[in-house]
Amino acid sequence: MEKPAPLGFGLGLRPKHYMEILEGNPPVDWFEVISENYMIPGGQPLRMLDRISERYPVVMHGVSLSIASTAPLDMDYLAGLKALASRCKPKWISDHLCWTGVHGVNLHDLLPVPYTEEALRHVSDRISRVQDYLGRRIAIENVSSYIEYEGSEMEEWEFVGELARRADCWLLLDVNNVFVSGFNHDFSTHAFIDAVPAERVVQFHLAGHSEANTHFIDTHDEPVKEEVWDRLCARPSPLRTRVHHDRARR
Amino acid sequence: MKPSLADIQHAMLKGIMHPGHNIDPLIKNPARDTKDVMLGVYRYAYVSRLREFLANDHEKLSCYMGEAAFATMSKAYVAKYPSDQPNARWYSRHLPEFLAATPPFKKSPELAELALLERALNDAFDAPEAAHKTFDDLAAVPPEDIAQAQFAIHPSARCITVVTNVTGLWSSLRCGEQPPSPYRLDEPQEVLIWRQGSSSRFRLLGKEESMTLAKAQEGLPFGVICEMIAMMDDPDTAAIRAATYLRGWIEAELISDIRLA
Ligand SMILES: [Fe+2]
Repeated sequence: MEKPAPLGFGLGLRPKHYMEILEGNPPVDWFEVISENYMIPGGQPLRMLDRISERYPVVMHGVSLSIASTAPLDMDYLAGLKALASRCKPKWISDHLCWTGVHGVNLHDLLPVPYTEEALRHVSDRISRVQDYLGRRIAIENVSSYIEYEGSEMEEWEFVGELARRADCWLLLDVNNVFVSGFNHDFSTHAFIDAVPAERVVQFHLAGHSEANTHFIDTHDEPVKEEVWDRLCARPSPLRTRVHHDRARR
Repeated sequence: MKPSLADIQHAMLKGIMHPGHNIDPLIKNPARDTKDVMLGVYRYAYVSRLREFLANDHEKLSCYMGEAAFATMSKAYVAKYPSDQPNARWYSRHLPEFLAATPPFKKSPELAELALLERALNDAFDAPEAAHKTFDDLAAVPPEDIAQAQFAIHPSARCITVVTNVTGLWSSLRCGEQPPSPYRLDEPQEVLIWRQGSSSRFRLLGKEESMTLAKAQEGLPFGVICEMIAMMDDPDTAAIRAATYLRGWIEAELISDIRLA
């Protein structure tokens, strides 16, 4: 199992930066693109992506794979994802450990799964099928969550680690999401981060969150909090990190 | 018996979309607040995210209606149309028909037309790619073959018919000016929407040009189109009128191919 080579520090690609990037060749190591924003027929966004992916490594980050959903895999979506990948040649493709809908409805949100053996089997089987179809390993990101299910049989970090082993996939560790969920569910963020199988982590996400009265909300639009940096810096591992502080369209 | 993963997802979906639907038994007692508050994060996000999609796609409409009225309208749209697409890009696609059919919005037909115009401009923006032919390409067609020539129109091009002064409203909203009062036109107006370079554009079309463009889009040879133009108005100037339209289309990058049968 050979991990993709470290890429350094990346940034989320946003339309308002297209010209700045093409005219200035900023010293950014790589860009992360929201897959769905480029799963369109044509026009300026795709032309810009073509030009930027000629100059910089890119990774694709999706929000609609809905890997944990009990609805059938959306083959049209997967075909679109595969076509985009052959166009921009990403170093890897990621999406979230979540479901976004069921029964033909898309909630456009990243909903958590119960941490059960049933869900483990279901999600690892779907990741394997997606990986077979795309012909490559994908990276799965932990989400921030606001509820936990009554039926959960294990901790989130146990679920994530076991899932990665069973599905033989990569992980994208969102450190901010660990903080948000850890605060909301009162678990130790250290325990989470230390338990995640480091050999499978290909990328980190850092972003800020806002603090509501009693809970944290992942808004991805605040500056990165001090404690998130501290936690990340304490971890001995080559960083492939993307700092994002604006909102993805999802 | 423990609920299955499918049961849990079914219940969560209902609990998020319909806040009255009680799913408390599925949820662990939260560490920080009540179940209602924590589930409320998802319930609030669901509605506000879909509203945000509408506002992103319909900036001018939102500006024209005003924030409060747009929010009320969005709430009704969200209740009627759950998203069925993985890509947010297409969430707002029913808005023109919704505004045309739903009171009180249907009493103001310019609302549906503004949504339709914005929708068409958005669609043109990321429509499929195609080349555009130049005057040199046209000049390369031997004169004896021009009657046989078929012109492929750029795939972003689309005509809509409007019955209000919606194009005037759109233009003043774009400039940040106070929009004029809405009114009904004396007769329906054709509007062409397309992409030139990387920008979406629109312009008004006369009846004859609109018919000519539609026939070209159908793939009729230029000679046949000229004969049809001759029947619509003065036959002596038909060839000049046809050439004028063609010239305009080439300038606008609307001709993506010239084929000789
Ligand atoms: Fe993230």
